[in-house]
Amino acid sequence: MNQHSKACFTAEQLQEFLAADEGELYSMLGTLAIASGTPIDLLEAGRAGKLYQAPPTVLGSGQRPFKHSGLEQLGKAFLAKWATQLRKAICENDHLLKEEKARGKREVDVLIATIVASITSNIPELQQFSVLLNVLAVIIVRSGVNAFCQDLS
Amino acid sequence: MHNRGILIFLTWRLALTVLIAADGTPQFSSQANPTCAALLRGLASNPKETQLRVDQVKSQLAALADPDIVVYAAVPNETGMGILRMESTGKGKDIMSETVGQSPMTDATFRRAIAAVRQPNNFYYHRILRDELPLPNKDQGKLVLFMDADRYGFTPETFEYPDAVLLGSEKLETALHNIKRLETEDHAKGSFAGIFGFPRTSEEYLKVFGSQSDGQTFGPLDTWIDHFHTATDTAARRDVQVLSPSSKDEALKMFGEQDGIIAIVIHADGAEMRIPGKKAITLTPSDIAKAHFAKSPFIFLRMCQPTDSGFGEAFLKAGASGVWMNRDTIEASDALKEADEFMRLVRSGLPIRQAIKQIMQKNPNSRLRTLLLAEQH
Repeated sequence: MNQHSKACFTAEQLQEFLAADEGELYSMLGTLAIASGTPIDLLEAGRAGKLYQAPPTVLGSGQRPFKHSGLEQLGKAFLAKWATQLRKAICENDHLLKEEKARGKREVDVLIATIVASITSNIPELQQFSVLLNVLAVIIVRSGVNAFCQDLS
Repeated sequence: MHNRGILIFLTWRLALTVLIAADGTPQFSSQANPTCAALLRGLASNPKETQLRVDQVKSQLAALADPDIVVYAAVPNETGMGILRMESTGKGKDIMSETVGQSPMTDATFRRAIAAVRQPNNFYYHRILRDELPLPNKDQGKLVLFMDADRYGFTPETFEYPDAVLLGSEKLETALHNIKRLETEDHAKGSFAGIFGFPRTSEEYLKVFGSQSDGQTFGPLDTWIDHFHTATDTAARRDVQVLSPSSKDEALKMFGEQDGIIAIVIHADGAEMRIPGKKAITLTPSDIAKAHFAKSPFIFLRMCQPTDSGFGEAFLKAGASGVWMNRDTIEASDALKEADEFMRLVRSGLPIRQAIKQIMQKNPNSRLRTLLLAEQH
């Protein structure tokens, strides 16, 4: 088994992620994307204020969404940086679309692993960031491959 | 007030889709303090009580003179979750009733799925719901209602019925009457009142947020002051009387004196809403349900409700003609924008239901996370 297809999450965690808000997942992706950049990227992001955010003024207690506009931007910047390769790995991958239809509901963990494997085979530079790729795969599964590809373009 | 009777909720949601988690994991993420309603009803469904409500709806459908009134209900059963479809065929005639969807999903999974599809763009859960509980596409030209007896938090849009209504009333006929009323009444020159529960001083901040007044949980005081100014600007622009009660009784009395629309944008801690002031005021669903709103105001309600604490039902019990409320958490600035747009549209002469529809069509978050309850009066 490809080491990158190993599940990063438990089944329960996976359901939690799939039920999360899109902004939360992009905030997670942005957080993880920091590690895939260079130290100077991090310094510049910090100096640009992208890592600061005041607590949200929500109208109540209890669980609040993890939404961080700066981290979301970093997550989206990561996608933009690798858009060409991701398009090839995800959007031009007929096998993936078939897998989504066949396994999307019941074997979502297999679909996640397939997406991660497809990305790592197309973008070897990202092989070492398996947690980031698993979060990215969750984003793709949650929104659907077609919708993800539309956003990517 | 704990005698619930058979309140059926008619909620209107214009565009919501719900999904079902495939693995049946029994965690519903919002595990805040138990709310009034949760303590009252229990967190899980009560199949016997649900069945009782369904039977009531059936008998009321049978008594309706109008045919083509369709009610869908989510009914948990021994094999999972079922969707029941009931349709009136005219007075004295048997109604049509059939289970149109059946899924092995558990009650907990269904709840998680419902919460998940309140997030925009959740294809995964939408697909699961659509595949697991597909509803028949045969209701063209009929009035479709949804019934959420177990407070799953779904709306018609959950099942891709954007123009259907989820409405609660002890009498279905009354509910139908209310739908017409909200579709036709003109409040352009009506009286509007508002209560905006934002702290403006460090003392008020402490009273409202209590042990979470560190500034790291609810944001800085300055931002709340800005929100208050935005609210008062909106109130001035839309001719809204800002209410500043000094006690619980006075707050309820003020609500009861209104005959138009009351906008309530406020902090809530579970089943307790907090109105800042010299003396902090707390209102619970129980307090509200005991009040008497003789002039039947319509309530625009925005506060954080990760789980339904029963505020909507309480306002209806007190005599409100309807409540448009949100689910989940909501940012104060988003709540104020919705309030401003709602009042702008209603002031322009649009009936309440049309104003809500228009906002939902433009704003995915409104569409997915708000609902309208209607009752008698």
